[in-house]
Amino acid sequence: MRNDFLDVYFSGVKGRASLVLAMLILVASVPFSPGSGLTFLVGLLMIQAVFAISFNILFGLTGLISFGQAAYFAAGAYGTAYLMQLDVGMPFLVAWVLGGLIGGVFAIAVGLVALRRASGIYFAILSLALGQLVYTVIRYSDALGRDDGMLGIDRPVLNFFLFQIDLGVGERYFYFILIATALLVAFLWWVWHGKLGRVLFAIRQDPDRVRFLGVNVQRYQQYAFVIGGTTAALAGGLMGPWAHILTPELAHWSYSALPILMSLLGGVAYFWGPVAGAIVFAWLGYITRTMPGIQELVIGGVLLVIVLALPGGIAGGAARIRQWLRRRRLTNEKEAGSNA
Amino acid sequence: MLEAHGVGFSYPGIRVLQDINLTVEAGERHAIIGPNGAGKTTLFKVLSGEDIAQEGTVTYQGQDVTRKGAWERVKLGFGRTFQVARVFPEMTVLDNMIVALECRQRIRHESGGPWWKVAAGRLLLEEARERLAEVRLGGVADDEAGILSHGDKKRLELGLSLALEPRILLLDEPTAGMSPDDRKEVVQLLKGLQEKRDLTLLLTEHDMDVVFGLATRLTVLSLGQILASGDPEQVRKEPVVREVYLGQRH
Ligand SMILES: Nc1ncnc2c1ncn2[C@@H]1O[C@H](COP(=O)(O)OP(=O)(O)OP(=O)(O)O)[C@@H](O)[C@H]1O
Ligand SMILES: [Mg+2]
Repeated sequence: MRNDFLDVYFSGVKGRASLVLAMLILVASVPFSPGSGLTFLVGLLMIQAVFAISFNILFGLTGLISFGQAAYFAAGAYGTAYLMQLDVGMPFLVAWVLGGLIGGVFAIAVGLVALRRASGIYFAILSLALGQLVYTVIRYSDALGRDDGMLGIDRPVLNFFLFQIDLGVGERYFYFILIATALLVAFLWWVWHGKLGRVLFAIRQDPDRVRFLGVNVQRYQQYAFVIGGTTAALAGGLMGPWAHILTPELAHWSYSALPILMSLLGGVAYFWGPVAGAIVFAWLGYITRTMPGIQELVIGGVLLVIVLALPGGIAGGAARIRQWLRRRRLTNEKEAGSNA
Repeated sequence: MLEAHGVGFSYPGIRVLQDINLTVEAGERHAIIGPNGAGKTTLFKVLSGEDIAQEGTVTYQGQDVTRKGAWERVKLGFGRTFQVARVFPEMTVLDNMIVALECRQRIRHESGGPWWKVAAGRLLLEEARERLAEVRLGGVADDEAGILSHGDKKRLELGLSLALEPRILLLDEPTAGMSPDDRKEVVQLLKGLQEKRDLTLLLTEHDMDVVFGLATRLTVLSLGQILASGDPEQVRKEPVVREVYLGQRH
């Protein structure tokens, strides 16, 4: 069930590699398209896709509902931007990684409290409450711009000592986002499909059975927490320089709903599900951008229809089409065989 | 090897186990029988660490394990299967076994090959297939475990527990829901395994053919108390046992 839905058309290592390459080329060509609005949206989409996968590592893979995922995202966004604006000449890459670590440390703290004290719906509500804590801290902190947000965040200059790359030139920062998110997705893909992912997936299905395989389940849930929190924060760290502004809404619980909706829409049982969900989400936002007022209504309606019509999300629907295609091919082959 | 001293356990409002004293010797095949609701599963929970005894102590190889969690006891050599088999329904039968073997690697601090590899190594795959064949599931290795028959799930769960090479295995009704032929086969399988690998068995069972075909020691539990314990044939003859349990059925 965890197979990638993209296998419908591409199977095997070669097929998959060429598909990934095609996607990268497609995204890389976006800045050459007429009109600059699209470039900004696609950059945002890449960041949000990582955000959505980071949530689904907790939910779809490990079975933990986190209603406070935006807190990690915001911690990374604000942390990175704050370190950039300090007048200590910290290289951007260092600020970005430290921003990610802030999210990771916060995830460890939340995990220690929530995993020990609560399960099920209590766990979800606790994660929500701890998430709102970050929102409140940002709104009352002068250094983080309070309700007005942090303004005028510049695109950074990457300093490699021998040479420098000014990401403020042209659409260079867009390509930096592309590379950074591609690396993060690759890392999360590895987690999802590897040995760690297998045991996390087993924990989601039956934690007691896994305990009787000699695994300290709570510790592995904690690992999932750290991975989800750190990658969400690293995705968030890319936001400031892209949008030039950060507002407390990034930490609000309604922003935590975003990766949940994207994952449900795309299919939580599949690695690429949240990405598919993020794409549809961005596309809906794009085509309804000229309908202020009814925009939310249209998006909400479409989401409702898709979630109701496709219980496994977009990826689940695609997997069913694949099964159907395969069955048809097998019967065709059988018929061809009996005719011969 | 495994001992319970004065163990008591209650669910809110119901006293389920009272003053249980039980000794399981190394190498035994020890069966616990008793009517429905006697407390057999609860006793297993307390012995295996799924629940913690409220009174008394549980020792394993001389070590007090009363307060140790299930995963810690498994690391010491416990294995456990459930009355209603529990496997990972959304994974294939083969992946179920791979997860179990990878858990054993973690316990033993063995490497499973290069850390960056996502797929399980060749050796591990080979062992997984062998172990599935041992519990006669080789033919359904690529099926999802959720669609297996009840008996197949039981055998898979047994296979998962055996994969960890436990020293003592607690089996809660290992043949429940199986056909008579399958039962005989499981009895043979368990006997063979127990002789081949130095393994101690503690099991509950309602099927008397299985009990008397397998057990080297028999304990009767009723209303949370031990009525009798000893050689199966002798226990069978005790009047109190015939009255409370065997008499009802035979
Ligand atoms: N989770 C629970 N909460 C409350 N009472 C319980 C719980 N589990 C079991 N009981 C009660 O404890 C008693 C013993 O149950 P247990 O499952 O240990 O019996 P058993 O001997 O395994 O029975 P069976 O042969 O039907 O499997 C029963 O009266 C049962 O109703
Ligand atoms: Mg029982």
